[in-house]
Formats: sequence, C-alpha cells, structure tokens
Amino acid sequence: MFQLNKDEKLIEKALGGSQRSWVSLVKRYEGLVYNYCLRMTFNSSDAMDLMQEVFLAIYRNLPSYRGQNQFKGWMMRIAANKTTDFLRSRGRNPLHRAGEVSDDSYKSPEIHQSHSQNHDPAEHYDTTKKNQQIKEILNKLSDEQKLVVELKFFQHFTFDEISHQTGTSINTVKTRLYSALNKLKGFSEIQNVM
Amino acid sequence: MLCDHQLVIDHINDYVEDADGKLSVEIKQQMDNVLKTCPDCQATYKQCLDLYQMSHEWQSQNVPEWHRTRYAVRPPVRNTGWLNWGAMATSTLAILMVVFQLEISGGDAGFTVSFGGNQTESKIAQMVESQLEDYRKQQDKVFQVKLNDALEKQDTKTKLRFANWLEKNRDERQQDIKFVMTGWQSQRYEDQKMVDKQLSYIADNQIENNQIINQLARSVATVQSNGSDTSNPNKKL
Repeated sequence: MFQLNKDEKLIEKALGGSQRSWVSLVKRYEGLVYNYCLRMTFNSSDAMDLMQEVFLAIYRNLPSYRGQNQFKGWMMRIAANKTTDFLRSRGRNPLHRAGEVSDDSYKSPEIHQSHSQNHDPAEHYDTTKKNQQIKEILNKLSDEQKLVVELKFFQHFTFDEISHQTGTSINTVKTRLYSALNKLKGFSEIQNVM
Repeated sequence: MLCDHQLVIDHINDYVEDADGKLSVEIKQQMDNVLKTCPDCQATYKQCLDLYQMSHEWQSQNVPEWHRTRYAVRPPVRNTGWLNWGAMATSTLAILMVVFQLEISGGDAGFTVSFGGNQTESKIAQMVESQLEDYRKQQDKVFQVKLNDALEKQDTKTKLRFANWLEKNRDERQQDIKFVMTGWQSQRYEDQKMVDKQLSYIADNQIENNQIINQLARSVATVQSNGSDTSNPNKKL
C-alpha cells in the first residue's frame, strides 16, 4: 500500500514538472519492464528500444493516468500494446531473423555489470544459461501466446487484468494460454534433459 | 472417458496456484479426477507447473544505463488553475457580452452600460445629430458669409446705380433748368421787350400827354391871359 501511494506521489510530482520524480518512478519499474521486454524480444538491443518506447508512451500518457493505485497494471497495458506493435513491425523487417534467439548475455555489458559482484564464473554461466533457455522456450510461442504467458506466469496478473491489458476476452486469454501450454509440451522436458 | 479439456482450460492456473484457495472443493475434486484420467490434461498440468517454476528461475537482469529524461522535457507546470478559470470566465463573459450585446461607453456623465445594442443606435443617432448640427452650423456660417458678400455687392451696386442715376438726374435737371432758364430768359426778354415797348409807348404817350398838357396849359394860359387882360391887366399867365 505504501509502495502504491509512493507511486501516486511520484506521478503527481512528475506531472508537476519534477524530473527527479520521473526518474525515481522509472527506476522503480525499469527493471521489470526491461526484463519483460527481454523475454519478449530475446535480445538486449531490442529490449532497450522497446523499453524506451514503453516509457516514452508512459510519459506521454501520464496526464491521462487516473490513479486508483493501479499504475503497474496501467503501465503493463501500455507495454503490451507497445510490444504488439514492436513485434509486428519487427516481423515486417526483412533483416530480422525470425526464430533466432540471440545469445547476447555473454557480451552484454549490463550482464557483466549485474554480475560483477558475483565473481563465480560458473554461477554466472548457469544464470545466463537459464535465462537463455527460458527465452528459447518462449521463442516457440506465437507473439500472442508469448504475451499471455508473460503476463500470467511472469507478471502474475489475473485473467481479468490480462484481458483488460490485451483487449481480448477472458476466454480468449485462457484459450491462448492453453494452446501455449500444449505447444510447449515436451519442449521443456527436452530442455530439462539438456 | 472423453475429456474436452475445458475444465483444465478454465481452471488450470487456479489449480496450480491453489495456495490462496481460489478453487472450490468441488472444482478441485473435478480437476483431480480429470488429471487422473486424461493424459493430455495431465501433460498440460505438468507444463503449467514447469512454466511456473521457469518463471521463478528467471534471473533478473540489470537495465543498461540509459538517458531516462531525454524526452522528459516537460516544462514545470505552474499552478495555473486560477489562470484557466480566469480564461474560462473571461471567455464566458465575452460570449455573454456578444450574445446580450452589452455595451459600455464613457461620457461626460460617466460610464453607461446598456444591453441589446440600444446604445449603439442611440449613440449613432446622437453622432448623426451632432454631425448634422455641425454641418448646419457650418452651412449657416457659409450662408451668412455669402449673404454678407451678396449684400455688400448689392449695396455697392445700388450705390453705384444710385450715383449713376443721381448723376444722370442732375444732368437732366440741369438741362431742364437750363431749358427753363432759357425759356424764362427768352420770356423775360420778350416781356422786357414788351415792357420796354409799353414803356416806350407810355413814354411816348407821356410825351404826347405832356405836349397835350402843355398845349392845354398854354391854351389855358392863353385863355387866362386873355381874360385877365380884360379884368387885371397885370396878371399874366
């Protein structure tokens, strides 16, 4: 509750022109959005682009935010819309290699930075390897299924909230989730074996 | 047993997340039965569990440093509530002034507020009246000046004409007088001539009378002398 109230205060100050409040608000949620974008786009470069688009849209639409202590849901709805647009435009790009998950974790400076305190190379390898496996599993899904899985399993939204964020009915969301589970049958087992 | 998987589709997540007790006992029992009898649903359940486990295995990655305020150049919003209200009130007032044709005018007697545009008409009438009055005064002055000029011209003409007439009349009178004088002088000359003639005649008559008288006197004397000689011989005539 305290966190929600803090969101509202930061938003109010940001709307009043306080850049420091806006930066604080971004910092509170940029990790969540970035990791979400990373799971949706599979590479850090696209994830950064998408995250910036999401926060730009949030910034532009902030005056229309009506509070009710649901900033995260409102933000993720924007993120879902932006993700749909981003993946659609990327699909039209002939230079984009569909179905390929870039393994940029090893060369990404932020990963090194994030694990700079962890000097154990083996643990670092396990971590990046696990994330890479998750991305490869999610890559088997269509964009719509991926979005539903992301919102349900990683963001822990209810079906009602996912329906509101994606603009589809609850039954459609459930059907997409079920089809995603069916598509992943066996694949995760193989991953586990590997 | 045929399974349409609808029960699993509807409740699989709630079944996996049953820690909150969202599912009723009845549905949970139905799910248990379905998962025991339907291999597909069982696989789906397992896959769902794997995904939940996978979501917890995700290692959150730090966000690379980026410019968080590059686009956040929104100018500080000042407390312009009063300004907005003021602008709205001003706009409303302006609209009402137009609708009701509100007019405010200042004059010698102070400000005047009127509705319905009457003031404009009265003001226009007043202005027209004022202009007409000015025009009338101007025309009066012009007329007066022209009248004075005309009168002066007329007076001058009259004087000239009178002078001419007087001059002409004087000449005529002089001629008449001359004529009269000439006639009078002629008449006088004639009269004088006649008087002279009569005087001459009278003188002649006088002379003759004197001669006659003298003759008479001499006759008388003669007569008398002749008589005295007989009575008084000393007396002579």
